[in-house]
Amino acid sequence: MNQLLEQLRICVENGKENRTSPYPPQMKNQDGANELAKQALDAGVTPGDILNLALVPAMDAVGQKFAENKIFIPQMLLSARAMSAAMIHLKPFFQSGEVKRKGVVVIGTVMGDLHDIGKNLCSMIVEGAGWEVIDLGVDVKPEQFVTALDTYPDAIVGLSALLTTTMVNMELIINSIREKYPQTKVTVGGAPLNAGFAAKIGADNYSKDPVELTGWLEKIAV
Amino acid sequence: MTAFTQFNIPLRELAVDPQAAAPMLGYDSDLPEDILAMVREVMDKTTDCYDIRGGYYILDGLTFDNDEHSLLVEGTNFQTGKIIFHQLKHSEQVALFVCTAGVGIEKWSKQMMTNNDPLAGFIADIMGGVVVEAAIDKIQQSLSNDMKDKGLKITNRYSPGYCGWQTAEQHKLFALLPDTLGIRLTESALMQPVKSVSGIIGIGANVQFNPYTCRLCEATHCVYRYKKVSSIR
Ligand code: B12
Repeated sequence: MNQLLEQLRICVENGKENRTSPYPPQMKNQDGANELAKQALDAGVTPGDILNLALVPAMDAVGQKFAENKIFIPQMLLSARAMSAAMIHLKPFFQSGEVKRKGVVVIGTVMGDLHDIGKNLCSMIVEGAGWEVIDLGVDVKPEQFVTALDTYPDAIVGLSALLTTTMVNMELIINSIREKYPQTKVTVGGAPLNAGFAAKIGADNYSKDPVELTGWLEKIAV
Repeated sequence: MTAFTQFNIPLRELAVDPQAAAPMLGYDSDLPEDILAMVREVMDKTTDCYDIRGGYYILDGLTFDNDEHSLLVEGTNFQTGKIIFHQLKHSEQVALFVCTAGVGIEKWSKQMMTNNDPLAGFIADIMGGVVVEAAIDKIQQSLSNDMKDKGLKITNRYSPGYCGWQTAEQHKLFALLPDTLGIRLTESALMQPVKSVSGIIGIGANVQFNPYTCRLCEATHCVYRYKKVSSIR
């Protein structure tokens, strides 16, 4: 495999963002994801190969290590940051349609709720796994999800809530979505939720963390 | 009803230990050196973001209902659920409390999230929670000291949303609290600023304080489970 892609994969897996970033200490003063992605493009590597042969496998490995309790959220975020440093160089190719991602995930914290750190973590990891993420923010009303689906009719929807008083709004949102888009898959998450609650409100899935979430997305992606 | 006892606490008075963030950051032991250094860096950069305020009202004239597991005070009927009811039922008075770390830390965190430093944003978010917990610890300690002088004891603090007490009961609690602290409750019972806590503490000669709070709680998957030993004495 291309040497640059291999180096890029290692940088993202270890959270090395760019040359000046001090983390991880053992990679000090070396090129990071930012420089290597640019070098790879300049050397004629296709943006699709950069995404699928370096970035996605790196984030897969990160997810795997997280699932095995070998690394924790902070390291995962460093990798996500390195990943986005590389992605900046790929953005024009996503826009032109030259590179395709696995699909679109529309995500948001449900109306009445303002907690966004957990949702943000999910967005970053899902994006790292090769999906396009449309983040609608916090306190998102049912009609905002429906409007997003008007633009991305094939999108999968992710709902987040952190209080028992707001998780009940998930059901309202799911009902609104299904009225217009009965086929849309909806996944839910957040501290007070569980699989039983998800099933009861008609969600297709509950995941306890972003890594479980990407695993589920992988399964339903065709 | 006594006057509201209010505290404005400078961050340095809390002497927050960065290791207190370890369970919330996902670690089951101490933070490794590199992550600890990052937490310290975020703490240094955010010292001016905090506006820590809190306080309590002490209320008496309590009526306990053993069948309903509820507590009537100042015309408000708190349905605390069984677990909290049994901890409070020997109280002669209760203290209703709220405390916030302010909105600044939330804003800083959000800014980092969008400025492509998600790790700093995440750490700041977690520290906001750690700080407000440390602040309410300090307030509770002060209450405990005052009561000790009067020969009284206090219970642990209990919050709506824990141990079977519905989060929606925040509305009842807030109806009894002053709005001088700048904490707002949304229709969905969420406090704004988000880094805020609220709840109740029992006071009396025959109440008990349990340093191991987790034994009472049914949240078996909580990251804090069995890690939290109260510092209040
Ligand atoms: C730290 C904390 C606090 C801090 C900070 C709050 C904050 N979140 O900013 C403080 C001390 C301020 C606090 C206050 C309160 N809290 Co609190 N808090 C917690 C705690 C311990 C961790 C929350 C957290 O930040 N986790 C870290 C983040 C990254 O995790 P996360 O948001 O859950 O997201 C992860 C997953 O859920 C998942 N996920 C999230 N979204 C999505 C979406 C999808 C689609 C998927 C698939 C997955 C997914 O992936 C994320 C990453 O792994 C939880 C208990 C726990 N162990 O989770 C209680 C908890 C959230 N709090 C709770 C409560 C009740 C409160 C209070 C109402 C108590 C009170 N009366 O004072 C207040 C409310 C504050 C307010 N503004 O109104 C309850 C909420 C449930 C309920 N009963 O309503 C919890 C669950 C504790 C419990 N009782 O079990 N809290």
